[in-house]
Amino acid sequence: MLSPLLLALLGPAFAQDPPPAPGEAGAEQEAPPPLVKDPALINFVQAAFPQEAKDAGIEGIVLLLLEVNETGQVYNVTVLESAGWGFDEAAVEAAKQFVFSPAEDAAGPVPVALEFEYGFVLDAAATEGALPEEPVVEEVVELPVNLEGQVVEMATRRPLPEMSVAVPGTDLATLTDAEGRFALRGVPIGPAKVVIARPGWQTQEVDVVLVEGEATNVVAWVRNESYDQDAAMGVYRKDKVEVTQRTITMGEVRRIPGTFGDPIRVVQSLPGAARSPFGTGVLIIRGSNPEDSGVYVEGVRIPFIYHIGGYVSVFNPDLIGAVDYLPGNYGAQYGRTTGGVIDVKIKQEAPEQGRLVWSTDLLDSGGFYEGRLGESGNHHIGVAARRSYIDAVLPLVPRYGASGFVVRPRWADYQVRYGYTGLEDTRVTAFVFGFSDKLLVGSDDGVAQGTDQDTQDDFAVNYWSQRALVTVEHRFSDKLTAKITPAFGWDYTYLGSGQSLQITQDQWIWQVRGEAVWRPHPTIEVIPGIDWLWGGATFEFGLPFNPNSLVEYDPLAEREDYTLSGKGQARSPDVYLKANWRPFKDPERLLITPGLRVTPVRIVDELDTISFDPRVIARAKVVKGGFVKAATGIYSQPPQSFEAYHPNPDIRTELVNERAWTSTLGYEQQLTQGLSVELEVFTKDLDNLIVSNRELQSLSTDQFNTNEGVGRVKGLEFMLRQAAINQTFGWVSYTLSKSERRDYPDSEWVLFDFDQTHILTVVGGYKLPYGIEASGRFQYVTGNPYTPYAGGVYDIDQDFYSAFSSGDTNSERLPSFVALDLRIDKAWTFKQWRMNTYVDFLNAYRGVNPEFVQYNYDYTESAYIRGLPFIPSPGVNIEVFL
Amino acid sequence: MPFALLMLSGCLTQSLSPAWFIDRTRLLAVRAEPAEPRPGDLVTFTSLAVDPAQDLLIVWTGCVLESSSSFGCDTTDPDAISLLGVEPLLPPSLQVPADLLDDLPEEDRDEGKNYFLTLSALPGDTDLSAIEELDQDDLLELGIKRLPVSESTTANHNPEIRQLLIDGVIEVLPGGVLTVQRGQTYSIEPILNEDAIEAYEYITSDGVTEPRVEEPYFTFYATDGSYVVDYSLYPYGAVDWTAPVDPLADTLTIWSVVRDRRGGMGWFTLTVEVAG
Repeated sequence: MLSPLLLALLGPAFAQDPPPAPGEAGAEQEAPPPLVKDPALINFVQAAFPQEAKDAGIEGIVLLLLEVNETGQVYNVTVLESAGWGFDEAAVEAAKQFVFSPAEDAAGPVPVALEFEYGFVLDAAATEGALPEEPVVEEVVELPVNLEGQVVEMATRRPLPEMSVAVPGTDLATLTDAEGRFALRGVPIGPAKVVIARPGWQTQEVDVVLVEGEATNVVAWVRNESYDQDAAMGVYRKDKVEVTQRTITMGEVRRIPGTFGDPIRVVQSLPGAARSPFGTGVLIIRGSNPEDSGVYVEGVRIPFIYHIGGYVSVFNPDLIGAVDYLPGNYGAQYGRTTGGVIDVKIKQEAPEQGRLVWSTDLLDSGGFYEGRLGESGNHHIGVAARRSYIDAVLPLVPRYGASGFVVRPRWADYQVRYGYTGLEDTRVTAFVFGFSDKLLVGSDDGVAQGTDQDTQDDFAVNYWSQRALVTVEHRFSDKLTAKITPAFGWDYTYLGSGQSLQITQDQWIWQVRGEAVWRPHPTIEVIPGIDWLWGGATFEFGLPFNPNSLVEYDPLAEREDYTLSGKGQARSPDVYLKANWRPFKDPERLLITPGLRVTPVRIVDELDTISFDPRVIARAKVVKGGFVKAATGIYSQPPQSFEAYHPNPDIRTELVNERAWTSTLGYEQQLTQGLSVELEVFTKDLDNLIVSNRELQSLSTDQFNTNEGVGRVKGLEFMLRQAAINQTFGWVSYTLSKSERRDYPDSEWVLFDFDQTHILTVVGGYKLPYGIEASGRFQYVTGNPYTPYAGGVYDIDQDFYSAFSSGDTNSERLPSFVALDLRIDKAWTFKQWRMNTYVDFLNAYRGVNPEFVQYNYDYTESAYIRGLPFIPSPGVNIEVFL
Repeated sequence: MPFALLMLSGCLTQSLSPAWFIDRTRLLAVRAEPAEPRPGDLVTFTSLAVDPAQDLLIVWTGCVLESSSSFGCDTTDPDAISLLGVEPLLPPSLQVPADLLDDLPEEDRDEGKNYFLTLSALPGDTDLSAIEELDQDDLLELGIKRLPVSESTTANHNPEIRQLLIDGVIEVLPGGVLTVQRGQTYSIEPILNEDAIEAYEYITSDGVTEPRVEEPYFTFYATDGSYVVDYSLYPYGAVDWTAPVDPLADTLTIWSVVRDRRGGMGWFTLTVEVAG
């Protein structure tokens, strides 16, 4: 019989530095970077023996370079050493069908490249001259197995492979197999101690008694002590085609004080993100306004990422598979934004073992379940829900009750995820989620709210949002894959106070994202895509005064209620095309990604505009573990609907897309296993910024806004990071930047409202014995600019002072922000469940940290509004494995 | 951060003077008589200008504006500004120009337009012969007021506070003195004249005549003691005021000002003696 044999043989796997072809320059410098888990071949495909070679009695060995992606699929095969006779083609064809278990570095699954020798051997009975037969192994008489057992992880109850099992005082030792089982022969009869160990797990000692003629069975439970337990769930993982790559694991996220375990909030501890007032989570990325940064779920834009108050994001963290944080110079797949991008990736699959999580803290509680349904295990389910009770807690705060006003925020959210993996080349995922937020602000009964009858009822904000999206990914061939995501959304917003001030809006959105990846050549990927968005809205706008009266402002003029209602439609059928070109066999040696995005915008009856945004990103490996990154591109952002609206149907809004030209140059270097450093400089030039029309004379006939504004941002970002390995993690993040705006051509440049020159964040965590973890975050941030005032003119008719500015706009700065947050976690791990309790100590440094300047009634005195005081915030998280 | 934390954190690094506390020069109210004159009418003015430490001179100037502004007359055009008086030396008054509304269409004259008043508070010993040389630093307080001028048949009148009702039972008339106990909290409610709440007609932007009734509101001030809330709305006009606990406090003043939102104002000054 003919048998192409697997000769073997996996060469070393390389997470970042696959070996160059023989003779290629720099080959002697290459060495594999550290992996915490090597890929393992789990599906070998036998190649057909070439008939011509068989007939000629020829055998051969083909040396292949296999490129394996994060899921273990072979996506590219290169012949490094040819064997001729048709062996190369047969080996390549078979190797493309191999499946590996994913390789992992400290941050989780990674793509790797590895050498593979594919051997073709003729059956000895059929042909003479085959490869030498394997030597005959002399049989030895083995002692019987008298100690066997299984090593199981506490709480998850999953069997642990590759655990060391040893009997001290003897030379008996072994490793557990894939099922966590082990067997030892010849263990001395009598009492014995068995030691189970592996870095990252608590060493376990088990006392046993060996009896003559019997096999002793042991089940050993060991406790995971490593941050690596969460490594599979990396956040801030970015495709390496982007100019920046940062990966923070959920193990770290959950322990960073001040973030409340929310992976999206951790963005604010990374370079490029400015500190938001009171830690509200407002996204201020690389000197851009909050509304200029886009928040997506699987590429689908959502209106809000945080619940009201900015305390928690609208997703259960357990559902989040990754968070792509792209502060700038992202690829053509993202658009309609001039700021940064945050794209939340939902976990695609559920573990085989069902998991139930319950989390509770001072402000809300929520539950989460994930598992698989059906005998096939191909139906992956995840369900989560959460509800706040802060509206009941707030009145218990003594100072709150004395303020005269009652603030009642309330939020709730839900998520349902379904995934199907039963099809060979197709993956289907559905995700439905929604959230609701409500805020009531009012005074106690019998207390007037201001001096106006129109404001006497509670001020209320109420909004909710629903999204449903389905993602279908299909692999047509080795060279072509495609993915499409249709999505539907419905948003409702209400804002009102009293009878006369009412703003309601119903909005529906359809969005379709589609992207194909075509590999016409091993060095090129061509990626066309669509990002079509269209939607409509109905609104009703009620005011206690006619806004037309504001043009000729007269506070003594009679007011009359004003109501405006209408509906509008908008569409933006964006298309984009980008390519990944890797001209060398080592795919990381150079990557160039040119792209073009076209953003046509039509707001029915208001405006039509279009933008062409060319972008290019390059990334080159210059030394071992060292990459130079550079990018430049244009980014356009359509006017928001309220900016484009005009109540006069005869007036079309003469607005165009806002535009940013951004460029980035950077370098990143892997220093040691887990320790990396990166440095980037960036610039951003903004133009066509929408500002109010200072020539406005009539609301009926004049444009409300113009595109006269410009801006400029420049900065430097630095990050030194120790990835979570065993007991520790941490990073130092520093951003130096300056962001300015100029509203009109003849006005002065002024600092951006949230311009923060220095942003230094130091984060670290350490695992102590007994399930205790300590972590901390230190922040030093330059104070925000503000416009100073020195006195005012008293408007006797209205009983208020109009302030005199004593300096230019944003010419003064608040004192610097200095804060130290600490967190202590204590975990209890049981055989079927585990519980984590924690206390966040916010502002342990007890710094004043002014957030705003407050003036007295006539602007002759001022004081700072303090930031967060020292606050201990406890919580508990219970995880049950079903 | 959650609102709970905001509520905990929103305190100031130092306390700021509240608007009700009279510890400096303040222009609290202005009263024109009549409150809404017709072109050619003679209007007299009085102000409620207070300062616990010194006498004041209030210089009144005025101008005609093509459109209203938050900051008053155009000081770059001195010819457009008229000196109306200097309290207390020269009681301010204005002969409303007879042609003030001539540039308005007939149908707009019921609504009329505003004449603009500027009040400058100066120290009582200011040498007025050198008034041209005064600069911003000499000003103790600057206030603005609009005087509606119209041909309306339901022209506005100033509201009057007839008396203050203390704790719902004690009636204090103008010129009266109230004796309070140190540290004690009192309810203070301004009582308006019966005709203070006026009904009038308003022509909407659609040309519809709409009957309306005034919705006046009150603001409160004091030289000592404290308010939690220093404003109220008619007809729920009462606020709580707590007498000072300082053993040195003996006599203080409380003011209540009423505004009818149409430019009409009135006020009540109450002398309080602290006992106990």
